Amino acid sequence: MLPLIRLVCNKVDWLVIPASLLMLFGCGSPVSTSDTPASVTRHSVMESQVPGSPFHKVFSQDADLVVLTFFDLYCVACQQSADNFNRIPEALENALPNERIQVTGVAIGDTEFELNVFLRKYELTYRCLPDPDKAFEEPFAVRGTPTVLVFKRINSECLEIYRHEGRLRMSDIDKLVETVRVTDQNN
Amino acid sequence: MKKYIITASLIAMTALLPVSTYATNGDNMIAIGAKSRAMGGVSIAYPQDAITAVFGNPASLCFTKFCPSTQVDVAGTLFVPAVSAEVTNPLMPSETIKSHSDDGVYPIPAIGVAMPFGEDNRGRFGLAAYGVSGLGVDYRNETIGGMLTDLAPADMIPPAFQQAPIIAGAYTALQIMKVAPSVAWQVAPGMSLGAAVHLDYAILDMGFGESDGFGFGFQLGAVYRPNKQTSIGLVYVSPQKVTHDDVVNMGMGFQDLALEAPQQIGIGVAYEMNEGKFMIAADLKWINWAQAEGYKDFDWENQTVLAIGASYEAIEDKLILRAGVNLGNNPVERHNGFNGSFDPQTGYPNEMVKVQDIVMPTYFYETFRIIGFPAVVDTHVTFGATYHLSERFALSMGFMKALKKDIVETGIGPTGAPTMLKSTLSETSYEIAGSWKF
Repeated sequence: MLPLIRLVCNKVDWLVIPASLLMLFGCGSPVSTSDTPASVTRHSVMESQVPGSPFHKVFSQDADLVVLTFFDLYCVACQQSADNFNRIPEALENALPNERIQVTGVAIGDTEFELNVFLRKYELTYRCLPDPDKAFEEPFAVRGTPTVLVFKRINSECLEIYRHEGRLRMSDIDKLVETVRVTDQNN
Repeated sequence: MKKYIITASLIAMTALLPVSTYATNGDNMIAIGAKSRAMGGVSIAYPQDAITAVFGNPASLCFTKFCPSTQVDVAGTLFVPAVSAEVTNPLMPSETIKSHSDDGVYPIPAIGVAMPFGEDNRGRFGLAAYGVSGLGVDYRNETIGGMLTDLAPADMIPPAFQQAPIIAGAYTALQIMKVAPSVAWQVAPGMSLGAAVHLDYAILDMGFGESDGFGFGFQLGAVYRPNKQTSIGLVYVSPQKVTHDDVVNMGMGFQDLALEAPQQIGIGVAYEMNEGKFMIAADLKWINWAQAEGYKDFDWENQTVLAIGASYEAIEDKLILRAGVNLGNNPVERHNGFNGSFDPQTGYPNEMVKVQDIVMPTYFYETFRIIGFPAVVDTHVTFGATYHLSERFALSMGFMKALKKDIVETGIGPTGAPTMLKSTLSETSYEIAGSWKF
């Protein structure tokens, strides 16, 4: 039922207000700020070896820790989070100097041009990829933007160990670092 | 399907629930929704829920905290006005008749939804239904609402005044509900434009029975974010006229009266500090009562309303505190020196006033204005809080106090003696609202 409603929502004629009301609850996407994973994603390292797959694009073979920041040019909370996105690599490197860390940004729904507009304006310092077709949305269970995911390579798996949804603030970076540190100690 | 029915039912209930006897900026509410009302009514630059966005500035629908999220807000306001009046006893000018309008607690519902659309979620639908305007008094069980014959034995009253009421406007009730579908689109990352259609349902009772009618209009808005902290909003609301058939009888049979919700222009600015934990916002709104049919006939002047509000996130992601003030001016002009006298022989008024097609004796016109529609409060103090019970649900509460304000007008009364008309109004309201994000 839900996919059907979602399909209808994508094709909705905005002039038909009553119809939009009826579809309201079916079109739902995300909740507000959250550090709780909607569904913890767990990916085999093998997946990252399939050329062209979203995993291949973001999971470096030699990274111990993969951080993904999902954003959208037209999302105010993403614009407001940009400064803190830039603080993530440094915060992790300082806390975990022996880890090989890879941070990648994914501009959900944005073309390369839109991504470049975002980068020019908000100056993200790490590698970012456009995702005009939202190919990254489903594999990483991204419910909205901004979303920050942290994956830890544990044996043959890349396990999601942290997820933040909503505006990213300084205190959220502290939580992110702490989560990674605890996971490190437990493994 | 059940959820759709519940939503549709809530909208319908909201649109149909009769409410009256509230007023703040003229007869308009200062804002809709607990969050905005707790911040003095600021809503143009940075509304914080779906109801407020549609009411304050549809363009701001795009600027939610998590993108994209569908949001449903349901709010209820308990409005407690305190209205009283004083009138010089027409038969004994040294005496003043004092009365309190029948007090009541008036529930005012509101519901709003906002949902994203478009492949890149640049658009937002909005739909809100709310009570937006209202005013009224009820002196029917008070001395002031009686006849001259209630004040003295009939043989002491000139024959021409035997059937005359002490005032006109002893019972009035105006209520306006709106349903506002709206759409907003981000034309650039920091710029959003929005529009709403306003469908109005209004009920007016001037003591001769209820008369309802429909009106419509539109609202245009824009929001510009020059940087990550600042938001500037601009909004225009068109005049919205509702004609009430057969609503007044001044002795010439029932006649119609048109009341037009005035056009409004507003500008707002909001500024965030400390990563959004502290926000301060201000709105400046111009309400064009002086050109609005009905209100201009009763000689209301334009209002300039300043709203200032602030919010502070006291517990991260959990508790937000809000406070604000809303400052306007009393739109009801004083007509000191009016001549409300009647010819004691014939009973005809010595002066008349024309309100649209209705010819009213000046005394009744003035009592309608001052006693019947005393929208005089100008200073509101507000505060409130929101607590996030879960990721999906937040509960908000608000409180508003409109400080006591009166209007006094002097002139010549029906018997030719000096007279004084006075109304005093203060208001208290309590809000509670729930916000669901999906």
